[in-house]
Amino acid sequence: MQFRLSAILTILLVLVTATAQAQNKRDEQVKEDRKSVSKQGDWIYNDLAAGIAKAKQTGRPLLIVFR
Amino acid sequence: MDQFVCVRIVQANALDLSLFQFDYDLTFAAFFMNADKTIYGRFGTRSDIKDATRDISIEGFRKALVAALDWHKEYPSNKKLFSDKRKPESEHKTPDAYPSLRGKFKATINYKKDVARSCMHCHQIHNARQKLYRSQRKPVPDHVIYPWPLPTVVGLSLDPREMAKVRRVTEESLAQRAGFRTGDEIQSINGQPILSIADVQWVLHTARDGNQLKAEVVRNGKKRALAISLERGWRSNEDISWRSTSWDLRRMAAGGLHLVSLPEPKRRKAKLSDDKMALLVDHVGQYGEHAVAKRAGFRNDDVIVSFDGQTDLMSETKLFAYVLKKRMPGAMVPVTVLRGNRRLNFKLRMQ
Repeated sequence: MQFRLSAILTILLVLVTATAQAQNKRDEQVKEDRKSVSKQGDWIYNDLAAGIAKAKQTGRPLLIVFR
Repeated sequence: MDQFVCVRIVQANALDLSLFQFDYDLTFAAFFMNADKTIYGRFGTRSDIKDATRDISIEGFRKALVAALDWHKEYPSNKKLFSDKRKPESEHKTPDAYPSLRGKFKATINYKKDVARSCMHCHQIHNARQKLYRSQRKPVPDHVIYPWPLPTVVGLSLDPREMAKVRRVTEESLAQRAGFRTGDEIQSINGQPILSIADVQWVLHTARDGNQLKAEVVRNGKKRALAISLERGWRSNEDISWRSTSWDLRRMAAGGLHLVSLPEPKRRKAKLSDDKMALLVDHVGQYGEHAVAKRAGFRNDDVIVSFDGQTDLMSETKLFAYVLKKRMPGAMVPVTVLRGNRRLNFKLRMQ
């Protein structure tokens, strides 16, 4: 009985750790994406108001991509 | 591209739904827009869970960009043409106003902690719409069950390398009855200029039973006017099973079962005629509300041959639509399955 309980706890611990690691990896990917897109400078990142202001200022149309 | 101000949006949090209406099951969606928020057109179409690029191409995107630039040069003299590219179609102005999303997300992503979790995904908006009707115990309307219909639903297969050029017309379809032919280039529908398959989808998405779609096409260099009449239930030929938003429909309508049509050899072996319902249980949900069917006794490889007395629900989509319109959460639905040589009866709780 005790062996079974510790086996279940071990599996749960592994699952929780794996989920947390996957979450952290995803968080890092999102942060990295923001950094690299912002660094390139061709795209305005996640700021519609800034895009509209620039379109008004330059007279250019907007290309807005959801991704 | 350098002739545009390019903006990338990575979140649906606090999205203005009166402005940004698009197919929320997409990999990506693009808007061509004026700074005054007039929408010139949309780009981005998907019809398959695995093949994300079946309905789009770089050539098609390039042509759409060029068209948008041309229209922008003529702006504002052509402004009226784009007035129907926006419609107050959503129930709420922002996603967080939907009850199932309320209080769950801030206005922006939190880059300091739980970044991914703080990001509302686009498909959650459509899920929130589905849940809204279910929680109010109202039949889900067709335009919510079958969002953003593909042009194939009226019989038009469009070439993804072009803006909206007809590649094939389905025999005996609404489009064939309207006189469409292979090679026709759709210029406008109901006065809206068209620059992509997604633009055609927008017109279809906002159309209702009984509407007539007046299309202007170019055929062999000459303009022609064609009209498609949308008869009652025209959307119901659409397949929604590929959509990520259908994952939650499996919970609502099938207790967490993933269903596929029984392959032909297995159908023959089971001596089931082609016109009879035979939905194979491909996967049984294992956890929480997705395990309702599991707890009721369903197993992988069961074949559903009757659902709530219906024997004509020939696809998973048809089953979803039946439940969403006719069976409210809490209803217990009798289901008959074939398991090997046995015929078993279960009761399945709708959610």
